[in-house]
Amino acid sequence: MADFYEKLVTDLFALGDVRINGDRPWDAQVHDRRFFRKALSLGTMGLGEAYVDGWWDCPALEEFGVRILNADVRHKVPITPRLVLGALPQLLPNLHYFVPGLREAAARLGFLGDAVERHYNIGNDFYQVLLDKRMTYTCGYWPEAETLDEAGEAKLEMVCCKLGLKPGHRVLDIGCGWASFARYAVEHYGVTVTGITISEEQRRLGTELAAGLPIEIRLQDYRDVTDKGAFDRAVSLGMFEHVGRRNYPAYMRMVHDALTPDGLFVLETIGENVSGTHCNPWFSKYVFNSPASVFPSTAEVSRSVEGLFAIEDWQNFSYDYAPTIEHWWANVEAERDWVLETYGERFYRLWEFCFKSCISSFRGRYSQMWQIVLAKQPVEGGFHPDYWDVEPDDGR
Amino acid sequence: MTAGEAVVIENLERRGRAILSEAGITVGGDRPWDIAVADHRFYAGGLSGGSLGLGAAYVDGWWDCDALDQTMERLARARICDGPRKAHNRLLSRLRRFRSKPQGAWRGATAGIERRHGIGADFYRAVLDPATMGFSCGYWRKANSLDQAQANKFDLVCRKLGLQPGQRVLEIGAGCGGFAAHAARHHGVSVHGIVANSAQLELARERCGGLDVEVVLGDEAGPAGRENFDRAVCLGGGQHFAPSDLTRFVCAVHGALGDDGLFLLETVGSKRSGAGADPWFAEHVVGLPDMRFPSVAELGRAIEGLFVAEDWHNFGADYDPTLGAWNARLEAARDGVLAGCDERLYRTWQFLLLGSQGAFRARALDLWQVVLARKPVEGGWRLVR
Repeated sequence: MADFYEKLVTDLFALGDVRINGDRPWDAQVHDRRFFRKALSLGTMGLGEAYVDGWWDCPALEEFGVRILNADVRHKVPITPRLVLGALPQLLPNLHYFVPGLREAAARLGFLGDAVERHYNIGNDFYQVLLDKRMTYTCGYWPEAETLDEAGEAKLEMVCCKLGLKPGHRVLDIGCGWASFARYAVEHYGVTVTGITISEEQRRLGTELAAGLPIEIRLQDYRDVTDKGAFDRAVSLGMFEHVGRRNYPAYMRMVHDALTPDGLFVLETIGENVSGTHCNPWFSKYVFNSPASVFPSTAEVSRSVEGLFAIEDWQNFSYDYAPTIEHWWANVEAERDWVLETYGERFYRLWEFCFKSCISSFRGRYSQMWQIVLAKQPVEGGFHPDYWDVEPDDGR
Repeated sequence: MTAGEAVVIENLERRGRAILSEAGITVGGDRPWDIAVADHRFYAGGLSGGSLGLGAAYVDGWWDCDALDQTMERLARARICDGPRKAHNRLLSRLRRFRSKPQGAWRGATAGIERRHGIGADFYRAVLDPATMGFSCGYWRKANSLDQAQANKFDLVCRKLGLQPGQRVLEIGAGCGGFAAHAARHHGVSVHGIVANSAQLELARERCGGLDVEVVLGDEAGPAGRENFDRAVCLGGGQHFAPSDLTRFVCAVHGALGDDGLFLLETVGSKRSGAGADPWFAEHVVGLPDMRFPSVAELGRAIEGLFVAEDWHNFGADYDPTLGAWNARLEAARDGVLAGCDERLYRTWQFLLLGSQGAFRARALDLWQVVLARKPVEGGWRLVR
């Protein structure tokens, strides 16, 4: 039996010029032959679980990922009866991750029990190692940055410029994380910030980090925000991914209502190239475990703001997510011994696979990173943030 | 006039004045945006059909005002023209779709405003700035004259596309050849331009003489047999499509580009899906009642699976000074080049320029410049503004 799977995987990997046990950095080193069947049965989930179990290794895992994605291997698997039958034992227990909408439906009916996002509670000390000094858990902006700290601050500065922050502005930060944006905006622009998060860990550490500043961090779901017209500006960096398509209208309505009539809103989210996708099964099983989590398309985001916001600008800087995550993982590798001791090897390998597969997706440009400026009333005379007057270096 | 008719007219007039006062416009007032009504049919026809009625009534001379752009801006802000267009007009437009033939992927893009009103060489020479002959929105950042704004816009497009000497550029809707000449002269590219009519063909060939630019008259086939362009540009063509044709157009451009091709699409956009275009503009100026200004969602949907959007830049507010400058030239030409011009034709152009200017100033319309990549740019596309 094993030969069948091994041959198939070898052939499929060859499409992306990846060899089994080859000697190039992106070749897969297989230690356990169960790898082949698992990879064919569960796709990314199979590769990921096998990686966490130590069944295979790859020195340049992100390069491996780009090659597999570019060769479009997942659509070239020959679906034969033999393969399907062989995959069933592994596929059936995970079926709810593979059938779009099934987990959402199950969650609504109460079958999943605890279905809230746990990703941000895995351990503050781990995130302190992973992230930059401000703990910005979103994409940095790299055109002029050398280090992760600089890229993180450049991104926060860009958001502040687009929002046109003025001293005294009241800002709502939806999904405030560890208050990195809030602290930056307060320190540099003299605003006050109300941040909301549903992660108790984030609220605890965020409040601690923001001590003494005019920042309030609430443990609150966005649907429970009832302040009307209480904010001059709103920002949401990397939280929209957890909202879920069904809830986009409610989300946009909440932000609309929370803003003053001339309010601006900067929405930053990872995006997909096509509409109607569902989250990668591996990703939703181990990373973004909330059933609602999904990446939107341009059409889906823009449709959800119609009648509520005017779209003033839509910047795509997805190419900057690859270096951001590379730096994050380099931070973890530098503290490898501590992470292994504190969290164990499986944890380490899980996050290694997670972050490196994300690098592949952004480096290959399969995922987009959008910063969208939304205005409750279109800006008179057009939207011209200050930083556009800084000439970018010649063309591309 | 019978007593009955007089009552009906009086009622219509009262209702018309009430609608206008919502936008802060007084009939017979003395502010620049107040209007004078010369013919009471204005109240029946002019206000009932959205801007379709307003435009036709203006051309007929049923109403007038000192500052048409300010009047139209006020109407746009108060959303007066949105009102009557709702249910029954939407139904009409759906019914029309049954009898309308698809425009063809390439024709729609090049079909400019010349369709109905014979806008030709005279109009272009009178209205457009002679330096660039640009017939799309200027880019007024760091510009204080029309020709500077047009040159800046061309330059912006070239920078966004990262043009390199020797690259082959397809321009759909090349107009009077302004962009093609700019790109060929300053960036050393070779341009294949498709224009809508013989007036444009002549002007474009004249402008691009001696440059590596080939201008052809658009037809259904598009640039047949010519593929693998490095770059494609369409400045102000995206708004001339019926919804189904937009996808076909994007598809056709996709096919004409090479693997690493970039496509810059500039189009007027509306803020809502399914909103259609301004009915007067669609019906009387372009002659394509089905055309619509696409929303971001509609554009986003049309490119799915074909292109990845690298950037969406909205500078609709820049159409305000552009249209204002065109109108100033139109007025100046009235005693010169356009001296013998028919009054109705003149008023059509005036309404087109000033009516649009009001709508853009009110930010009721957007102008999108979208950079689309066939294969996402490796290492990323850097923001250009």
